[in-house]
Amino acid sequence: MVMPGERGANGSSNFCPIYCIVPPHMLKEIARRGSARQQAWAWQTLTLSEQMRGQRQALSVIAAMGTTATGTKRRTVYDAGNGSTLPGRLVRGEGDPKSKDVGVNEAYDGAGATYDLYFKVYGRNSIDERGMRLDSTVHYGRKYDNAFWNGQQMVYGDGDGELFNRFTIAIDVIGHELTHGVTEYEAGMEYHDQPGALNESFSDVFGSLVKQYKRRQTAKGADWLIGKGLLAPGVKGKALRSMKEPGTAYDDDVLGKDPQPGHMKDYVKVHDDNGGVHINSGIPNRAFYETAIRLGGNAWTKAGEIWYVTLRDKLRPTSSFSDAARWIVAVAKDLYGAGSLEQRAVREGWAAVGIRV
Amino acid sequence: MKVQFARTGGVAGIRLTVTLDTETLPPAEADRLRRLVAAARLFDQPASRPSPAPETDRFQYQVTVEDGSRIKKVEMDESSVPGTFRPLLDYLIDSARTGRKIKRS
Repeated sequence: MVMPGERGANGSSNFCPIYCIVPPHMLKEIARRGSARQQAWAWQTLTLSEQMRGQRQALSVIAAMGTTATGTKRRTVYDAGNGSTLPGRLVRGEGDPKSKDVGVNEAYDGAGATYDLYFKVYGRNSIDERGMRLDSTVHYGRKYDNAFWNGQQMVYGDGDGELFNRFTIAIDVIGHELTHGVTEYEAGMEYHDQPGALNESFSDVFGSLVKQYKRRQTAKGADWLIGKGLLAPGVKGKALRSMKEPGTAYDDDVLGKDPQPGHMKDYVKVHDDNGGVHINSGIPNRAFYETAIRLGGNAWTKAGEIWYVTLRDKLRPTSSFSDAARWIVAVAKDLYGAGSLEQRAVREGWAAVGIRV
Repeated sequence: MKVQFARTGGVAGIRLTVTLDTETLPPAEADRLRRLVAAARLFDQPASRPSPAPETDRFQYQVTVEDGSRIKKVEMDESSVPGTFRPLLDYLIDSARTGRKIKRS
């Protein structure tokens, strides 16, 4: 898509793709000055182009057109009406009153809580550090027992009611999904095998920190469970995962037993799940727990800071668990000094899962 | 006809499986399964549809069908499921959820 002001292939300016009736220059103005609803629609139209999807450079030009003051949230919630077309019908914009639909409010509040952790604790202005809109779609699919980040927005299913409740019910799942967005803009660990399991782990770590921060919990007082409340009554389990004791979250006739390992000696080599990214994440998850519990206090301050700086500045798309451990120990040294108790705690946290640095 | 199904991945990371056999299903169900496999054009599908960059927390599906001497296994990511495959997938997911098992005679 040719940007407003540029010349199109046939020499015309302000070329508008075939689906677009409102020209880009007008959309740009609406995106800047319209009401929350109008802005959301204008953004949606501007960014839905197949050609622009994934083109960060083009998107950042548009983002610059509509920047808001740092620290401002821009949340939009859509309803897919149990279909699979995204984003769906706009139902709540930033600053709009509460909806009658509890899932809409959970998506809205959870995105806000995630924004707050990243901004207030780590100084990060949304997913892309430039105040990116936080878009969520609820009621995706029929009995859809999942939630995901599709590269641009969060998507939540209602669950099937027998195994799973609605996926917005767990604030750490919301934080988990949004963190995939952060990771995409930062280290971008590839979604398979050890890099993928690290990607998953960072989502669980910051998802859990969103919950702990919201509740002002200490590392000792937190439950370290991911997705508590998501499993329907009648399912033998308490959560999707346990960061404290991987492998103990559930043991059920239909779901099976929680397969997560908590130590490198139990690493699962499997073809499923892109090489077990949701399985082997148990190992770095536990390393975070072990570090946080040794440091004491609130897990988001020291442990979270070390992990965040590592994700932002050090990790690579193909980083392995031992790469991550080495970087995390190096960051602890940068932030707290060589031989500091913080660096020691991080070393011990990783040693506990069988990775010595 | 025997159909083995596995769904893995998703944010919950749970492996959901079911194996169905037309020999042991009630006749109406057996019929339905055959029709769904035919509608999915399963034997014409590529063995796998790898995603260039798998979307985070999406499901992966594996379907293996044995029909007489023919065996076919297909794997795909949720983000690249062809429309014709959807009804078969939905049926298999429902069957897995209700815990239907292969009956041994």
